[in-house]
Amino acid sequence: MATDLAETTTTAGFLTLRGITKTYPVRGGGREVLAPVDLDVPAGQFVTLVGPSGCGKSTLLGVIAGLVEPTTGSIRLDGAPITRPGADRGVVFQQHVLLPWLSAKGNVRFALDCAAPELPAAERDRRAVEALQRVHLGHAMERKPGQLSGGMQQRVGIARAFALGPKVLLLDEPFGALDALTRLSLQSQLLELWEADRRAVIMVTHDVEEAVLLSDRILVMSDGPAATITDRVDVPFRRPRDQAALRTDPEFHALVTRLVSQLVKPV
Amino acid sequence: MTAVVPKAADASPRARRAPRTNQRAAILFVMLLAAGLSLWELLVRSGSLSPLAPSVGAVAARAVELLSDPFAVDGSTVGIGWDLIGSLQRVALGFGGAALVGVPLGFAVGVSRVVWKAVDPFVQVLKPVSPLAWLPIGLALLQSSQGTALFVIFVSALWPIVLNTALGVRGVPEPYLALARTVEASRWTIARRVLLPAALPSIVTGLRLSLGIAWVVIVAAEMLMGGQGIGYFVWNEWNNLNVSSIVVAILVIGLVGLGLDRALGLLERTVRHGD
Repeated sequence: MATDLAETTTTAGFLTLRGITKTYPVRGGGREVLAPVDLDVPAGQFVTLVGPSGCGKSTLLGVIAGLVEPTTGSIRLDGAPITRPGADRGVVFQQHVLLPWLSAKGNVRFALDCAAPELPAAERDRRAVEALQRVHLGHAMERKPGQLSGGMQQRVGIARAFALGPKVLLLDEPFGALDALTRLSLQSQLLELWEADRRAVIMVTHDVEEAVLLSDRILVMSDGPAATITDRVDVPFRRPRDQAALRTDPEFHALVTRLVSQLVKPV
Repeated sequence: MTAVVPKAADASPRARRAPRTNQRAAILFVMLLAAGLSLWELLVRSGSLSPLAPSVGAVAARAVELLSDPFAVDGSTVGIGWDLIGSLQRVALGFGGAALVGVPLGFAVGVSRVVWKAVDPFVQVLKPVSPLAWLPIGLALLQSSQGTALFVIFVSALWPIVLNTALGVRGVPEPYLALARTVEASRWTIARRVLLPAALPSIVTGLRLSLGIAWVVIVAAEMLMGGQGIGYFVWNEWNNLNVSSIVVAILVIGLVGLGLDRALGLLERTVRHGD
């Protein structure tokens, strides 16, 4: 109990993972995806997991989301143990999971209807509209996902996660499926959104520049199987950050190069 | 990845070709029709068919006679329109009942792997059975020809509805369910607001298939059961050796079936998601 208290009163323990492992049963034993992972995310920090494709980053995010049950270990968010999915964690999926029969606003409303049924309908409506306006989709609220570009669809996904007012945002390679230019634009928008209320974020990406640009801290994951966090790098750049200015900063490139050399093993 | 605006330019060469294709198809259609009718008329006139075979002219005359006042009531004989209404009523009742039972049943089968595996053998064995094989069972159980006709329609329309509903529910993309869980949607909400709309196109496809089968089956059932109905009309006219009436009835049955299919096709298009 005493340690719990200590963890919740210091910001270091806002989201804590202790000894998380995941082993999938396969014939003749098990396939270990995650070796023991320990993680502390302070409130208001933007943390990024980078690592090679298929190393188990997304599995780890799934564990935090409550969608994947860990084989061992425990997770606490703001003092409470996590055992199942919940709206205190806003998830942005890799493939902008939007329900195709609902409008952009309908999709955000659906999340609010489920997560916050205690609110009056008018308030849920207001929050959905506001969330979409924050991602500059006020003009496209009544459009169905099929009538939106890939970037716009992902913005709806982001608006949906923000609308829930979660304690932590979980972003699973949110821009991975987008073209390079759209990705740059959405990175700036996410930066802007995040600066506005500085919620804890855990993002998974394999784009090192994206990680350096957005995060306070980068966790480098080793290649699977049995992936774990091998390095923790603090990103020193002052906030609010300006994407264009950062890209001309030699320190930015030095950090990117350092991380890339860590991730890309000589063949 | 996803097109924002439909690319009108891409479709244009095909669009330009379409009218010519349609025109040519129409010409070919008329030619085939003319050839078919000529051959038929020729065979009848040359006397190489049975004397029961009516000429094209006789069928046309009979068609005018039957269809000019389809709802005529003349003593004990009534117009073909009434037979049609009788058949449509039976189909509506049997098919409606099958939809009311089949959609919830298919939903349950689609949601649960256990139920799926348990129910699948029944469906697989009963599906290939001709609906008419159920006719004596219906008679034995219900002891009424009217009830039996409905029963046969119900049974034959049920399987496609159950199967397509279950497939639709099972085919709901896994990420939709993951999303629903992360926003703490209740089971009931997931069923109503995720599974049902996601499976709707598949459900409507099942309804369309079933309605087609029901319309095919009703004619056969009525031929055996009697009463008022287009199938009974066909059988009755055969007993009068009035083959031209039967040819007219076949055309009417085909056109009504086409209409039913088109109506459900329209519904299918409106529920399809634009993704």
